[in-house]
Amino acid sequence: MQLHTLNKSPRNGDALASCLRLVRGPASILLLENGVYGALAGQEALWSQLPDTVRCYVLQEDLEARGLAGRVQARFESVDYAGFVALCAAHDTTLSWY
Amino acid sequence: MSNSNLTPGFLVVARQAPYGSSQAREGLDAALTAAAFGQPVSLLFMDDGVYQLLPDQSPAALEQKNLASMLAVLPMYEIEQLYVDSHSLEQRGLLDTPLCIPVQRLDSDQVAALVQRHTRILTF
Repeated sequence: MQLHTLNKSPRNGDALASCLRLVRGPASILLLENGVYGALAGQEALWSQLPDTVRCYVLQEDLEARGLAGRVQARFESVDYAGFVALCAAHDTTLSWY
Repeated sequence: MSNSNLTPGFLVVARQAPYGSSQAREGLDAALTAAAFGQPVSLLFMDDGVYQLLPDQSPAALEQKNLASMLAVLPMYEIEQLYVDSHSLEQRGLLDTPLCIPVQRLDSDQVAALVQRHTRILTF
């Protein structure tokens, strides 16, 4: 099972589009750094094609840095750095899209 | 975790165009280094990385090494699993363009399968 990480905001380059095209469930996606903007409430359409077998996470410290805590879509589960490490350990491999 | 369908070695994913940044060159260096240490290496070109495959590159005026020339020696390092994402070619109008090295064209499902078969993936 793979963990995909996205560190760019949704409209910066084609990392998001390529990730969504190639991810296959079961898998997980973690948004971090500027990627966390993709988890903002109101942006649900970005992820609407993603099957339920793909779990979505967002990095807490990067949300807080950007003033986004409390404005996150229901689909995304917030994890802190320790949770980030746990996610990496729980997956076979990590694929970084940047 | 299921190990039955995994490919050993590295998958290097080239996503950036050449010469504007060092990413393309660094990805190739990583692939060559892994191969020099006896690791099986597969190389996938996708997104702007497909631009690395255009022929007739001549970066002399930029004082950079010719990336296409480096790609041509991959088989000498036993890097022969070379793939390109057809969707990325199509997005860029390059489906009918001859490429500088022989590569296997994959559709999106095949690329997803390739990615899923590897546990060591380096993106550049």
